[in-house]
Amino acid sequence: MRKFTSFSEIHSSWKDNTGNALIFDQDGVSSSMSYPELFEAVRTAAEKLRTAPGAQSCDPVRADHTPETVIRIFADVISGRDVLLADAEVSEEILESSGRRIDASPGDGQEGRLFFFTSGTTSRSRLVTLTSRSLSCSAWSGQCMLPCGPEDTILSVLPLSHVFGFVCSMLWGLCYGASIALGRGVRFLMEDCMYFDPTILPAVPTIVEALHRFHLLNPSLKTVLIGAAPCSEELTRALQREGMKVYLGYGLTETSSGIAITQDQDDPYGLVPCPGADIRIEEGGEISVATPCLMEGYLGEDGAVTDGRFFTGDLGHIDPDGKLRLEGRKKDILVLSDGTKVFCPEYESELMTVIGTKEIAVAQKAGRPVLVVSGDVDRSYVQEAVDHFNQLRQRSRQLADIIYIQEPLPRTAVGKLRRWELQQMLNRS
Amino acid sequence: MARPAREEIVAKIVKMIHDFVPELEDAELTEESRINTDAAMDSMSLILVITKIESAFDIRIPHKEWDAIMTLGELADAVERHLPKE
Repeated sequence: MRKFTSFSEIHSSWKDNTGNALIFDQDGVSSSMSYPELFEAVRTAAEKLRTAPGAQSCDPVRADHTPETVIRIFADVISGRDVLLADAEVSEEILESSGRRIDASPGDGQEGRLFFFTSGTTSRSRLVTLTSRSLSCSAWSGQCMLPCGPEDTILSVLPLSHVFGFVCSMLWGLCYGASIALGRGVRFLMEDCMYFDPTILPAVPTIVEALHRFHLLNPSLKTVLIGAAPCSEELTRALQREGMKVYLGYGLTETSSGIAITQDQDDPYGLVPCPGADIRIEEGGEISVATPCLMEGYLGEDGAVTDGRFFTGDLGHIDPDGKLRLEGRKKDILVLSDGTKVFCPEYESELMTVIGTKEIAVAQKAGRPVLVVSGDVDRSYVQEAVDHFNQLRQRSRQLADIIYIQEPLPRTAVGKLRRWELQQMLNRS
Repeated sequence: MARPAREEIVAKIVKMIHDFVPELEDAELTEESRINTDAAMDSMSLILVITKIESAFDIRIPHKEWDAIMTLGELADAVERHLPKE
């Protein structure tokens, strides 16, 4: 299996591949672009860019699921132009100002870099600097753990501006000869499996759960690759009973996507490190990693990588079989004014079950843990649930207040709670 | 095709929600019912309901308008806005 080290190498490999690289919808008709056609389109676009004025400046790309976006990304990088990837949520203002922060590429024949927002859409979002080498390496390590090939169609519905979507629903397949079915957008999210008939679906649990609930997963689908959050055991088992294999991947933007992935269908949460990923558990249970897929750094910041290792902010342990088991997010821990530590997801999970809504979060106000509840709820019922919850805890760990808000809780595109943003909201209120 | 009356639009939305959102199949729904919160239905169910409504009325509600739809009545408003003018 070839280990690519640049987008130019990946691009060159397309010449001799006879299959379809991209499958997409064009005015209601399913269309395709073969690998040699994609090769030619990227070659032509890159050639134009090399001679265009301002060729070395950064190109902010709204990464939608179109052949034009795929061609543009590869052409930019191959021609030495940096690419800043963003989705529709990122405002024009932030996109432009972020683009201006990126210095011109060296222009010495090297490939352009790729910049990803760590999360979200605000001016405080960090930009992660990745390279075609780190991303190609990530595709290779994924292929070592979960091979795809020309017989596969990978449905691409995840945002390509997020590294999980970029690598697992595009780059990985284009490295190893699979066809990439470019999803038709949110409107068709529930219909795309039946329309494109993929064999592999990289997705987040919310999407998979809904597609399964409404019987919208196509019969040819054999592999579901879950990222961003674990799939419930109940859903995992249900998919397996229907003949699908379910894999959970763990990685971060900073590591160019996955560094560990489950391998055993009977152990849906036991993550096996990818080749080259040296995973350690540091003091306090934090996961650190050294990997050839590591980012160059955050744009404009030093010190995010220490001696080649990145501290993930996630908590976990390595079991006797050498499998990584995730336990939560370090940032999910509140350190209260009396030094007490509260693991928010544990509180939230228990309260969600009792209250019956996922729109709750635990945050800190005046040094005490408080419950934030979004939307219309029966307040007396919430109060009763919190009273009962508190009765079972020491005073230092009890929820001090309930704060009701009308707006939705701040979340990333994949549904993760943006805790710092929520905390900012509370601090302002 | 004649432009459907408001009551007809609301009735069709209620039927779609009852048909496609199992947790709401017996729920009493009015124009004031909130449908765009996790307490009511998750985001994926809402996508399904909106796209089914679009097919039923042969309209397209632009995606950027979806987040502003909070209640069943506001979904009916969106349908009315995008129905062809008589």
